[in-house]
Amino acid sequence: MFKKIVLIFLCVLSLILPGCSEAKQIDKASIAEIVTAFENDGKTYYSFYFLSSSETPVYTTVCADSFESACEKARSESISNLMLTKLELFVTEESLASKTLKKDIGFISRNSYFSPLMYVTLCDGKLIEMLNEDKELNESVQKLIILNTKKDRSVSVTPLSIFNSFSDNNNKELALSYINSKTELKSEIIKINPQK
Amino acid sequence: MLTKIKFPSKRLMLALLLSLSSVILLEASDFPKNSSFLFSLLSIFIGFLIVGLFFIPSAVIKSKTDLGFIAYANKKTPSAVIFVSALYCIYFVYTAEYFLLRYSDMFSKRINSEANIYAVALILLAVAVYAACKGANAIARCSIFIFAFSLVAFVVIFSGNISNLEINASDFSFSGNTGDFIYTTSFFATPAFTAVIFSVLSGGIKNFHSKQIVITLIIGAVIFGLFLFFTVFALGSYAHAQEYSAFLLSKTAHFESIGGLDSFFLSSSLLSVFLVISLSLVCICRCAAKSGSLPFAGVFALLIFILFICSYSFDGVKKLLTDSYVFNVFTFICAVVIPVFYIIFGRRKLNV
Repeated sequence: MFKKIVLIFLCVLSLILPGCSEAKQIDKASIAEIVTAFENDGKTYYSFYFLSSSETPVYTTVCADSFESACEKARSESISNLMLTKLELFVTEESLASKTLKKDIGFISRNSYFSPLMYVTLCDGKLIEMLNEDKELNESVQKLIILNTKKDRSVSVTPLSIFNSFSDNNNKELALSYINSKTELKSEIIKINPQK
Repeated sequence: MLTKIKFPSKRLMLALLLSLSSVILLEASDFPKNSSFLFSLLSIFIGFLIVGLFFIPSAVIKSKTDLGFIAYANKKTPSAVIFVSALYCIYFVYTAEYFLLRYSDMFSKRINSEANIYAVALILLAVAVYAACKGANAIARCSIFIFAFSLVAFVVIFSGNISNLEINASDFSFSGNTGDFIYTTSFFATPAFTAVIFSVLSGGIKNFHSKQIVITLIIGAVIFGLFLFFTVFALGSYAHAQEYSAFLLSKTAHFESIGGLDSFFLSSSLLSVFLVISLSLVCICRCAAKSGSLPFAGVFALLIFILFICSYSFDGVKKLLTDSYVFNVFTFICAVVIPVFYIIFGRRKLNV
């Protein structure tokens, strides 16, 4: 009898525990896959590219000084349920490297919902435009970043390694991945001074 | 129905080893930033040496009388045993609360901040009550499977982090200050709570040898050392940017493109906390001489849950219940002061 009562209790519990009442439709969840940071007319913009079934990229752009304020702005203005746990790629235009990269990596490292192993790369302005049009470009960029790590083991391509390079006070140059899209997509390595 | 048959001491040691691993799995931000790896390694060594010393009084009682501490105290001072039992019951409630709060904090901060933490705690306590009713032997048997799972989890987490390792010769310097040393040593001495669990449950084990404690503590120290090693060399400064570096290790572990191994970490931490709470409830039942009593374990589990609610309502209560210094002092009283007093008192009584 006791076992039957326990069984009934567990059956009822199994209906309550899955949390179906809190379920969210995946299309409505606004899961960001890529974030790009670029400069236009002296202002810094951040674009969030979302996971979707459409053939063209679905994205939204906000003007902000840093990734942190871009996230806040995006949440308050347009995407209230913005999810960043599945972020795979963080692309920064080269001209912003000294201005925003350190701040943005610091923000990523402080928040546990970001993956410490997502890819981070610098690029030229043309790649940002290409990402707005071609949805498949994400995979090609990631492959090029992996190629860079195979070319040179010292290149930092994740928030984990970039944050550690920024934190080290040994004045060593920081090697970052750079995607050049002038003629065709090419992977290069660019060195910056992390203390600047 | 529970039997009074003794079970092999190796099983209890295995359960204690897994219980003590919960300390490092639920470590929030206890590794100081400015201490070097070798300095922290020395803290682990001293910490585990202290844990070893905490085991001595109960090991002496077990070797000489084949009794657990509560049974020994009952034999020596039948009239005062109620006070000793009450103190030990309070201690085990504190122990269960300490780990339950640390686990729920980790769960809400790192896994799901929207989850109802009271429901998580209640379910964990309910399972622990069931396990406590089955007795220490059943829990110790269960620990064999938990050990197998934890072994796989640890191997996966560590081997998945090998590619992140960045070891420089300069990282092996020896630096740190006294304050950090006291703090880390106190943290690494927290596993001493297993000595109190051992003192109460040792009466129910057979084939006990003192070297089993030494082996258990050496394996425990190696696990702690491995977590420290990977935290320092695979995570680097990133480990200090967030809390729960052991959890972060599971997030950074990857095999080529396969990542997201944090579920292994979550499962092993949950199982180790389950062992601590269920063993604490078994000890409470032993202290009250009511082994396997469902209502008795249930009442104490309810008390733990009420304290859990209070600690989330009042910050002061939570700080007190998760303070490792207070926990270590309490452990020292229960593992060393009272048993040593009884050993000395027992000898004098024999001499008289």
